[in-house]
Amino acid sequence: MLPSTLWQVGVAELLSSRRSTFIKVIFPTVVGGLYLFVAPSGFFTASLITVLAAVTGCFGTGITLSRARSEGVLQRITLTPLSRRRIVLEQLAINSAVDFCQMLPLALLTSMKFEAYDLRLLTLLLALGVALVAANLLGLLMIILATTVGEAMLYSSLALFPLLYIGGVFTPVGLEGTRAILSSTVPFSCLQQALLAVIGESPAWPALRVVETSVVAGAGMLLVAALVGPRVLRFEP
Amino acid sequence: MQVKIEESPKAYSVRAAVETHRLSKLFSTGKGILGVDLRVHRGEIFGLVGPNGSGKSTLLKLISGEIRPSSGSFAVLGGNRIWDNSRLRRKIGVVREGVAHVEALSGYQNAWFFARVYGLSAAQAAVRLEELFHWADLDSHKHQPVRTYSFGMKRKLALIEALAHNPELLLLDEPSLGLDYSSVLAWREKLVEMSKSGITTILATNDTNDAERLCHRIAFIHRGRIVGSGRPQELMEHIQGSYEILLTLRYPMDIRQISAIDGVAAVVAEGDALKVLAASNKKVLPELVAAVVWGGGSILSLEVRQPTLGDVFLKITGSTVGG
Repeated sequence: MLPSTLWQVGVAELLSSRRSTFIKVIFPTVVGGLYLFVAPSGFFTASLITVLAAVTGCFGTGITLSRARSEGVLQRITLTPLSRRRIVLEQLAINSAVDFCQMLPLALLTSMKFEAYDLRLLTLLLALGVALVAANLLGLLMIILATTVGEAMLYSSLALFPLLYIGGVFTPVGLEGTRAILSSTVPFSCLQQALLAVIGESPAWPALRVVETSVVAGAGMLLVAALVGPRVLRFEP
Repeated sequence: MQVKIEESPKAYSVRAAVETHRLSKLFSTGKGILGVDLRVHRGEIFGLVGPNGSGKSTLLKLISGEIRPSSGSFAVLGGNRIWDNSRLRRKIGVVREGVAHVEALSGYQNAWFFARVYGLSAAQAAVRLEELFHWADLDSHKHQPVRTYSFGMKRKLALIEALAHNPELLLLDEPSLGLDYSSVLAWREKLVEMSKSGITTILATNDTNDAERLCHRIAFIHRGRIVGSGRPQELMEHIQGSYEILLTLRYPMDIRQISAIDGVAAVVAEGDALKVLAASNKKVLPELVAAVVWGGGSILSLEVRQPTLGDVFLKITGSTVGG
């Protein structure tokens, strides 16, 4: 494959290392799939899948981009006629798309296990996509602060886990109160709620609210990426 | 640190490919470049010569738009704010210091991506890359992953990526670093050929022989400042009649006695070797040998050479280009 755009470079990279791509795709399916059958409750199953999606997106982008920056590849790409905004948005899109392909088998397996083939599955796929964009955006923004791959992982963890808590991934969030309001601002809560619906637990949010929140969060994140993202490509030591 | 970027710089010459006006970039380490005024004419090969850490790469990063200035202004091919100007960047080819490629992809995939991003059609890219891979003698390796390439091969690939779209301006940071002898020759030939066809080149190097042979004009850069500039012949006039004495000693010695010898313009110690720039005074050589011997030194070898551009730099700054 001869890549003419950044996203094609991402695809060509994946195709060039088939073994690691296979492992990347199979890992969440195996870990999450096993858990589907042994989890003590539906809530923990939903939590594990949400955490897997968040970590996959956030760490993947943080590591990939901070390595590309330390090797000088990002700097070289910035010198091409591509605008910095386009570089950031394309990176975000390709990383999120790859992560979606990585998490899709597990999402489908979950819906098959709980026989959820209706609107709940579509809501899950939408919420999964939005959660992955959020995780990738977080990883992307964290490399503004990081100078090494290790720092990128550290900062990503420091930002990610509190957000997962606020989003009600570790402990359930009620319908009222400060935490309920806060959780509606975190895209990971959409995925958690969509998974609870698929698994047959009683989610705090109806499907329509998950869809609405996902759409608003997705649009908001693209705006943030367009506005703040180019800062990732400033290389002032 | 004062940040002042002039948005509407003074009128720049249309004949100049690159023009800088009091251009400064200061990093938090205190290093950078300070008050650089340059004018590089179209079609010219312009050398930026200085030791490692002198500011050559910083200046190239500023001109290419990789980093932004702290103060001052500059224009590239008649346009400014290059970091926001895609059309301007399309006209520029860059070889950065070090090597940066997508390692998992083949050399050809990397070069193809850059050729296409810089605006070549698929047909144009195929023809141009065929020609350049052949020129760089990378034909047989072009479909191998870049991670299997040697450093020299990666540098050649960087040159291919910089040249593929026929840029109007080439910014080259140590382009011949890591290349084998025949590749260096081929590269020099290519540079001269491109200059004749009107392409402007700014060449950052600490190889004074390369600079002397290739460049129409040269600027010496030392500790972030331009300390001298002109045609190589003009610069060599600074040390007309001088000669360079290279002494290899058994062990290092104090050079203060040598500096005091009448007729010694500059002296620099590099480990066990001494480099002395002497005026055309036949008395210098015996006095130099005597000073070393009386100073307790032991000479392993002594060589008298014609001075080079490096000696001009030594005379101006008191330090060597290579150090």
